[in-house]
Amino acid sequence: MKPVHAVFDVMFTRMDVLLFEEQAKTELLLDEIKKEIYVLEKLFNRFDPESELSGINRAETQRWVPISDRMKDILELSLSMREKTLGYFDVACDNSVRDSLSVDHRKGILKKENLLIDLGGIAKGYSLDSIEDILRKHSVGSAFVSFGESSVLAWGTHPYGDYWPVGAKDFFSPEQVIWPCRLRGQYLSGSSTLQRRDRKYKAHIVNPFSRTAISEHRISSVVTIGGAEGEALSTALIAADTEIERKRIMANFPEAESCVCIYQGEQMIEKVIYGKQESFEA
Amino acid sequence: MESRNLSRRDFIRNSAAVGGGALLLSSFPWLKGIAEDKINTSKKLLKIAFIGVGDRGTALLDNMLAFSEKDNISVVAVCDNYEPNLQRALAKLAGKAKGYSDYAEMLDNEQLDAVVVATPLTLHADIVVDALGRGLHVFCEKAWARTLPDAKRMWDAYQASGKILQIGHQRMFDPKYLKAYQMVQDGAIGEITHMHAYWHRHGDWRRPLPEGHPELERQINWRLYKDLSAGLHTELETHQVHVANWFMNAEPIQVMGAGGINYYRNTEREVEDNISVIFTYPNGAHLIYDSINSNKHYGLEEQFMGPKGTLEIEQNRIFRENARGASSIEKLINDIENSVFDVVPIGGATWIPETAEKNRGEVVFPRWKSEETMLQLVAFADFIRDGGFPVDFTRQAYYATVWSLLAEKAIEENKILTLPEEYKI
Repeated sequence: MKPVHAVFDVMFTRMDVLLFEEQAKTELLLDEIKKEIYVLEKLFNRFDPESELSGINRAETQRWVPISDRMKDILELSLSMREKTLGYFDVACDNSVRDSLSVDHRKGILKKENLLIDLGGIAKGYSLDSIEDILRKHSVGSAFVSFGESSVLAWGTHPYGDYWPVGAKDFFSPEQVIWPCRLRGQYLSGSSTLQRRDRKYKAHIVNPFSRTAISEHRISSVVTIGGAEGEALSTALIAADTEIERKRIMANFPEAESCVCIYQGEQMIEKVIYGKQESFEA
Repeated sequence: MESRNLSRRDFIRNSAAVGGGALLLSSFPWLKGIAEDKINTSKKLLKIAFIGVGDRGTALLDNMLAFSEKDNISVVAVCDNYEPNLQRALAKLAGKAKGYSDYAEMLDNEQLDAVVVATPLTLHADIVVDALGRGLHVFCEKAWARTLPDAKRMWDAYQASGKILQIGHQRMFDPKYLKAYQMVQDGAIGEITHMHAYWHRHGDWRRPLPEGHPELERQINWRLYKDLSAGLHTELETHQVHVANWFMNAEPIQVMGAGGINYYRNTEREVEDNISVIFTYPNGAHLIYDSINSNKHYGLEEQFMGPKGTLEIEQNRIFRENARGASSIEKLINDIENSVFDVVPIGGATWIPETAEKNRGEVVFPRWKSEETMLQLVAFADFIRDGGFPVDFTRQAYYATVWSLLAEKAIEENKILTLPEEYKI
């Protein structure tokens, strides 16, 4: 069995798509997927001065800005995620005033003072959701879509099993799987408070309440039935400081499972699993 | 005779495997004839003659004979003014073709549809102009011509003829180049901001003369003499300048360079054994080009660089700027291909690659095979019968040679040169 493997460069991230369909259908699927993800990139990329998001961020304040249906969709989803994550996930970033994002179905978005939106924490998951729609529309049996290997859609099952065996890697020992999962038409999303750049680790997740970067090294992996939901949830779980808060967040995602690990140096000192993901010996 | 079937089937299969079959055909309609998986002997008979059957001409002849019978093509005549070459070709054709040492006599006597020209460079212009003037389609090996005036003369004759003039830039029929071109158009590497191409060989091009025939020196070793050859410029550079122009969808606006003989000194050689050239393109990108005859370690390559990635086409690889090191996806694919059911480890962090060495790139065109020499001849025959020859081919080929000749001139004059008005088309 040889899967067709396509690679796209989108949202500054590599997307790998594995398909197992016959030739004509594969080409049709890849064509549709490619068109969709580049349309979304054009809407959501805040580094592209011509994107809709950049236009919103530049728009005059204290007025309603008309937005496209897709933008409304992702912003309303983001607001929903903010609520469900108790505010630990928020696309209104940096110095934005809390609760500064208002979306109206007819009017668009209210551009409050200092509002800057960053969809980087949800756009990839949203894109995977769109790809799921394409796969579903075309009755695709199995597929595997990886967005930068930090958000994956495991559609259907592995060709040689009745699930996709996917596991979260240890941050410092990538050959070790710290949380093996069985996925069937589900998403695995991961986040880390630290990014490795120029041989150093830099904090890049900000606690939306304290407005400070989280220096403790935490990683999260979540299994969800939606991509955007998974991406938002994985960020929220590491932005939350305590286990109690994380449990409260998870209570709002009854279908989800997650694993949060805390490191001291390169040593994992704590690992907590939330939910009841089937685990197995990797 | 099976080669053509295999080539076409391989082309279709390989294109389909990367999900590129229909996409490639829609982007490159001239491949349609190649991709049609049927051999049609009811096609109109084509009568073709070869002019120049030295090493390259023989290679072309062999490739054509691999498919000619099934494709209803008859090589009816061959011409070469060097008897051993002529006899070798006639032996291959086993009495089915006539031999000539004078091409004009051949064109007078034979009823032809097309000629394949693979003579030394200085002979291209007269032969091609004559053949086109007689109403023949022409396939001519690169480079286009030895001099700028000859290049323009050929172009003018081509324009007046209404016939096909296809130049032997076979990368236009190479699936990995086609796929790479499509990837560039799709933005896989972003805008091309820099190019580097090189062709390094180790050898002086000198061929031994038959015992007792020193008078054949310039006929056999024409590549070494400035009046007969532009050396590295027309033998090698022109191929890669062609690729650069193709991928850039533009020609250079200026050229500068340096070169000379720094290894094969004190030999009977006039052309450079090393050239280093910079072509500037309208968007500010440069093609840095070098070619040498004194070392083969690095071989040849065309590298296209943009903000999103790098293509190394000869190596059949693309390197993404934000690629990871060891890929879990590669492991998953390998597992599936080997019927292994094992965990796919997914990273929970966003890794930024630190060093180029960790990025092994991805294959541009899996299961690539080198068959472009034959495919270009297959296409030539199809163009003659079915039309659809992309006129841009010939224009691109013209400029590939013109800019290579300008590079030679820039080195000789130690100047930055632009395209003279009289050679613009």
